[in-house]
Amino acid sequence: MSETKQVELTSKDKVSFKVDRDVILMSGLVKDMLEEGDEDETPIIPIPNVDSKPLQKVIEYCQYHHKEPAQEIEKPLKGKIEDVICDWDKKFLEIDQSLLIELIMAANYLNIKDLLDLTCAKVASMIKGKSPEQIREMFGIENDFTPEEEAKIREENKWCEEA
Amino acid sequence: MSLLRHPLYDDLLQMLFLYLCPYQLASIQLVNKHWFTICRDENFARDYLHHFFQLNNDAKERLRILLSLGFEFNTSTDRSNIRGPSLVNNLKSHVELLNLLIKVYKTPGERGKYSKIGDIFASFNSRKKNNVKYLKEMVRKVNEANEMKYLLQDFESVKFMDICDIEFKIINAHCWVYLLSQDLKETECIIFSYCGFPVVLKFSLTDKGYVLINNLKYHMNRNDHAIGSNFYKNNSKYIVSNMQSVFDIGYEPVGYDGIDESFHHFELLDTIYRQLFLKVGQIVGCQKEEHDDDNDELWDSNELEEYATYQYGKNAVSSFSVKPPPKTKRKATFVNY
Repeated sequence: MSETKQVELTSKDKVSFKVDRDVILMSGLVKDMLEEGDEDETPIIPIPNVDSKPLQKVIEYCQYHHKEPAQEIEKPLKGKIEDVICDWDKKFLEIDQSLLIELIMAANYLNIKDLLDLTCAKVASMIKGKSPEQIREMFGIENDFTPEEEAKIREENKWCEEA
Repeated sequence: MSLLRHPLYDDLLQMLFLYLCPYQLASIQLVNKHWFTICRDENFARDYLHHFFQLNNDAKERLRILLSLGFEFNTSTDRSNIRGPSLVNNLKSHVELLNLLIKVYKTPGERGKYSKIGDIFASFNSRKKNNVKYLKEMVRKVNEANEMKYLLQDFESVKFMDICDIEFKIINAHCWVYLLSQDLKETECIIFSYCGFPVVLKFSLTDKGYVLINNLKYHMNRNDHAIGSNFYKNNSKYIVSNMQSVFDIGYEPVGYDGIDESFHHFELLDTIYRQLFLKVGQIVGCQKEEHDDDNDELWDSNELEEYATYQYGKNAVSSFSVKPPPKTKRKATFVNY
């Protein structure tokens, strides 16, 4: 029985993770890099844009979903995200907000579409139903509109509600 | 948290916004200027509509949302620019108009009241008394030139398949074009322009070196060569937007609560016609390629090439002209109940 080929990923903060090659092939970036490299080697792939914490989560996601393909999430979301994802994903997304944002960026960098979709949909569901003030507060975003500009946009947007 | 604040991550943020409903999109524009700008990005709006249309089959709802999202189609390159309510009001009018059109075409009793598109527009605008005369005149000039009674198609025949198929936007003229019907030689569409009046146009390609637009004969000469060849080389459906610099009208809308009397409608229409001509030329060209096995007497490949060369010859832009067509009887597509 042949041994499973592995790949070593090194995070931005120099933490190494050994992961099955088949698993991490979910990453378009890693896949491309492996295709360019020598098949016989156990490659060490630096992931300079991703810290160990999100990288670990990425690996966790790939380990589950490389055999259990994720279901596509509809855009726009009609209801709650919890209604359209599997239990494993729900559990997976029980993380703090900053890690969630890091995960989006990691999924984008590593080119893992399903994970990117999942995390984006999660943030969107957090935004859903919230007022601009609540969104600003949630993400620590500063309001740079003047009162006049804000009033103007509110006036413009009024009819969206009317429709 | 740079993702939510830094322009470097606009694409990601837009990806995230694709999961929000249209009404939530309106709300998040108020978060900050950065979010406002990326919500109004044209590519985002196109993407959003693409997804939205896949979920929603109801033509009226699709069109309503399409128009309501037109609010997001801000072509301004000035990221700090915040538009006034003019475009919104205008689009709101479009929604009202469409609702009326739908009513007219869904209700036999209503349908009999209107015999032509101009009547519908006039009725729609009846509360704006100052505009009725203007509108009638405009519609008469545009749609009924040369004694043509240009009539609306049955609403049921309007197909809403995919954003790429039903709509393209003429950036410079700020209008949306909806395809009503199309075959190898004819394209019929309705244009909702920024200046507030929809126009139905029918393009008929001929093998005589001109195109008929609502049976007006359009000749194009050599200046169009550059645009035309460019158009053919690039298969992008939205290449029209690249022609912005060629048709540099550079107007800024003024007072859009209804019709802007100061606006140069004919200049706009002229631009629209030219750009549509090229667009339709492209569509027909593509269709011809796809139907190479067809034994079409008018359009064998050599003729098509010759035709395209002729049509997109040099100097066309500067001397684009309208000539009255020969008087022909046209079969009306409208059926009175």
